[in-house]
Amino acid sequence: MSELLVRLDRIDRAIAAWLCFCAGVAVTLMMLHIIASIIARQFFATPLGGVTEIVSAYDMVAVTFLPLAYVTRQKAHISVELFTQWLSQRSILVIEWLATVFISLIAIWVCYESIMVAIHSVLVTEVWESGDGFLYVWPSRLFVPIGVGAMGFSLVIETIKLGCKLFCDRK
Amino acid sequence: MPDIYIGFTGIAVLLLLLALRVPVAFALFSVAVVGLAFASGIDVAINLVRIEPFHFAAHWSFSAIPMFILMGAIAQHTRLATEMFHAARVWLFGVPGGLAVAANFSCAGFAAASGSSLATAATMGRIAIPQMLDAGYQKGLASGVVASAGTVGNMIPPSITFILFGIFAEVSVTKLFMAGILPGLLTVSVYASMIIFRCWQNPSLAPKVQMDVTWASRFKSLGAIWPIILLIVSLLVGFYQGILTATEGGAYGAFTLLVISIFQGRMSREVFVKSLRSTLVSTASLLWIAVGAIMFTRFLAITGTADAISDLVGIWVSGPISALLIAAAIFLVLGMFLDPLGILLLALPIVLPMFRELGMNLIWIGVLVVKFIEIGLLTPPVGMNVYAIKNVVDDKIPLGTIFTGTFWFLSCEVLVVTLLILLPGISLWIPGLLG
Repeated sequence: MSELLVRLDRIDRAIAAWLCFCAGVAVTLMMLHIIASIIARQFFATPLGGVTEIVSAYDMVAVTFLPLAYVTRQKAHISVELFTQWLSQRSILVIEWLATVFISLIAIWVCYESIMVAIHSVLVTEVWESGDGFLYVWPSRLFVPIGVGAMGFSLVIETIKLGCKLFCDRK
Repeated sequence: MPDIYIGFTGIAVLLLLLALRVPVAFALFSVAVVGLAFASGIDVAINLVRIEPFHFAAHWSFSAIPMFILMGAIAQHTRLATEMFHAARVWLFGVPGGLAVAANFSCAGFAAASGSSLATAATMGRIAIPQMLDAGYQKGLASGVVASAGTVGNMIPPSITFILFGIFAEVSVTKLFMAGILPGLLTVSVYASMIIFRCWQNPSLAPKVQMDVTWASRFKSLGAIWPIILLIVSLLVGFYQGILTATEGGAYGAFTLLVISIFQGRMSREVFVKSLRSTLVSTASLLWIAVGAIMFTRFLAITGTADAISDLVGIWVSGPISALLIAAAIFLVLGMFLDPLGILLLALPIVLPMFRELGMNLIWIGVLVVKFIEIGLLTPPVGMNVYAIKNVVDDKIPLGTIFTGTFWFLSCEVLVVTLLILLPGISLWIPGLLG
């Protein structure tokens, strides 16, 4: 791998780890928030307001999208390998490279479209109606392009790595 | 091209993409978007891409998934399985095939805490199989019991498979949890009876283990696991009484297990970080597939393919039994090469319209679908639980021996499925009490 690719890979790893850390904080807060809500309801007969909305709009969106780059780096996207097992190593590599190019393009496109939505959401300061008033949800709209964009970056790095294996390391 | 042709072409392209190693989530997503662009125009497809991912993820009922996955990850990383197996071992050492029966019941117990079949098989396999091999147990029995009993993680509540089914089929997750209790217990009981009978008939399968067990040591073995038993029972009571929703149950389970682990000295910062990481990887990869699956469902609905499938059902399917046979075939075939949750998300858009058209009880169907998925985890060429065990045992047991070992358990599954189909009350009695 060239020095540039090594650097890009390091940046990608750092981004994936940092976003995964943020998602880890979100899942921990989700657990504590829901526990606080159960305690408030069962022991003090005072339900906490907005738990459903905050967990749905913030924690769930963070947990779904922010770790996607980490999932990609761990090669944890579920795929079917049975039908290509009988192929040669090189043929598998070609198929894997083509599949990675394909999904990189999808990720980049989804990232672009979600940026459009996020910009609109920020401009109109999107809110959701909650029990006690309104909840600003525009910040959580940003989690989608950030998570999917980071996944797209990881996939592009992976495409280059596979391409190098395929076309540069032929000897 | 009529929309209906686009729908069926989409299904064919989806299968092609899956065969070409495109990850399930991306295959579902791309087919749905391109198909919708052809059927309804590019603007509709773009709108779906803009709206659906966020709205789907920002859904309260999905929040049960990360909570139960976290609970399972904590159970997996805190040596809970070791204590469960030890307790089952000292209580059951006197029966024929005692270690295998103990592995069977501790798999069920661990499944209740983890909610995942693969995690149960992998974790219990590391603990129980070496002990059974050291005691001279037949390799097929030792590996087969853990591979097979591990599958009950999908059935015994809390089960992530039931949560996903409940969301997609729009039925109560709590009722599904309750519906899984008796079929799960029935499965482990049938397994245990089969093991005891086989080992009684042929003691060379499982030589008797010499152990110095007293009643005091039996009760002492419960010391480490009673909080977990209490947690599982309180979760079930909470669901039954309507005190806890599925999400609250998940958060309560994860938090209580975390606190128990801290008090028992099993939790460290490293273990917690490891649990969080595996939770996030499982949750994000799963929900990303779910985003693809919901878009694919929309595509099938908009192109009228879902209705066409329902119409075909009217022509081809004469009644509930033939519908169940078709569903069983679909799930078993998919189970040969896919992860259980991948199977569920891929097949539900296709089979649910069929069951709805026939007016079948979706709680009962949920139990049967989960049972079909469990069986798919054991069937060759790629029974995922068998491979999970193979990873654990490495070269000690050949793959063929593990598959042979699961044969007896698959025979038991035929009996269990027959009972579940003929006697729907096994699944529906407890949810019926909920009203």
